[in-house]
Amino acid sequence: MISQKVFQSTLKKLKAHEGVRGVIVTNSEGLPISSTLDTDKTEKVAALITSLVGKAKSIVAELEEKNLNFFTIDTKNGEVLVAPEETYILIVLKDKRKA
Amino acid sequence: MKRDASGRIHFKIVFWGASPSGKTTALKWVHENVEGYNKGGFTSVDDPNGLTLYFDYTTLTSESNVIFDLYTVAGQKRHKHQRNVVLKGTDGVIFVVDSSRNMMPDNKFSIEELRDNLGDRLVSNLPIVIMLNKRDAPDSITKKKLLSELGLDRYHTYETIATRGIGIKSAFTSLAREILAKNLQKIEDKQRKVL
Amino acid sequence: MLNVKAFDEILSKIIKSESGIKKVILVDRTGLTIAHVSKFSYYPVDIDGIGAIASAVFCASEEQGKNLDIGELKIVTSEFDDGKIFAASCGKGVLCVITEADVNIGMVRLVIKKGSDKLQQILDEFLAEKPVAPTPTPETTKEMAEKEELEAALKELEKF
Ligand SMILES: Nc1nc2c(ncn2[C@@H]2O[C@H](COP(=O)(O)OP(=O)(O)OP(=O)(O)O)[C@@H](O)[C@H]2O)c(=O)[nH]1
Ligand SMILES: [Mg+2]
Repeated sequence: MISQKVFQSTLKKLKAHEGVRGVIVTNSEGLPISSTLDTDKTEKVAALITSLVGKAKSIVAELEEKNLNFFTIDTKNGEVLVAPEETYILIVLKDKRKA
Repeated sequence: MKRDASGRIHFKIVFWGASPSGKTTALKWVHENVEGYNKGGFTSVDDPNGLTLYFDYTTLTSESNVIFDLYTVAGQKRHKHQRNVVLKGTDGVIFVVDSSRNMMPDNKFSIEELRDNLGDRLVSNLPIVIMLNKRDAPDSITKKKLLSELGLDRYHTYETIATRGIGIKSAFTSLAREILAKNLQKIEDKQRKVL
Repeated sequence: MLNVKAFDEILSKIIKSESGIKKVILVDRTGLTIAHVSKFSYYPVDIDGIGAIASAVFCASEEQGKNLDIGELKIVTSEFDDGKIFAASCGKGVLCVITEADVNIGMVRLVIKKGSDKLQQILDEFLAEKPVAPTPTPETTKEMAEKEELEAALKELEKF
């Protein structure tokens, strides 16, 4: 278990990256643990992404592709980066990379 | 009187009274001995001693889709807040008096609390029926004395022994009849106004 | 006149929106079950009894909040070994969602919030109406029907 201090500074570092709009950490029940966004947005993202992670995991298992490590949702506005860990999910919302 | 989304009419009846005047015993008897009406499940939130912690609840449904939702309250003094919650939206009250001599202060406390809670509704003729329970208690007070000391002379009163089911049916049907009649009257009054 | 469908539609939407949701019940604050939907009937349950407790539990928590002066109550969550119960305020009613234990809590909360706004609206309309028969009929006929129902109930009382 990482300390709260390391945890917060890691989030800060992530948030400082160019184009990063927000960083959310949620538990596997879809409840946000930490976030740089407002409550409403945070709850929404955490819930929906957790639900998607569940589906993705079952797809990965069905395809016999072993563990799910990471996925990206590429949209017109930017990207949603999702890293499902054992007990939590790290979510980063990013602007579109400028060409 | 209320309707649920399926259009069925509901009436809520609350058994009120001190602990342990016999409210739960009376409701259980109704639940176990009802005929004619369809009965629902029996839900109790009680403590390890069998005294009510929150409420008991059961339903009686008539063929014509009228449903009586029957509740008891928790009579012990400390459950005041629970009693307030249960009493909300009631269409009628059965006040259960414990006839034992040493229960007089508790009966008094209970009727006062009911009066406080009902406020205007008591005055505006909320149907109330009195059950003088535990008539078999060796030290039971006379009916006359009980009623006058509690200020309950003007209500329909039934002498009951809940453990043996004596008088319970009469008390319940009397209140149910009063509630139904009252609501019929309301409809008739409204119709008369229209005409 | 509102029909039953308005409630059923919203409750069904809620139950379908997340796989772990098993039952959705709408109760008022006097313990009356107004409407409900279930996914499967694993075993027969006494919905009215469940609704009565759900309402009571929510109102008790609300009272607790008042005593402690900590504002309005939004959601009560009860966690059990094999399931969870969420009870959320929706205006004059309480929306109760029963789920499996490993449900996406965040999602359930989201769905509840969305649903309860809509429910609050139609509930207000529903409760504001004079209690009448579910089919749109002229006022007097409705009253006649109501009268008949009450009279029938009175007669049945004699059989008790
Ligand atoms: N002798 C006698 N005992 C009774 C009678 N009615 C109930 N009792 C007994 O009184 C005790 C309490 O009865 P309950 O029905 O649990 O009392 P209650 O009013 O529900 O009490 P609370 O839930 O604490 O408010 C039980 O032991 C009953 O058997 C009665 O008519 N006569
Ligand atoms: Mg009791």
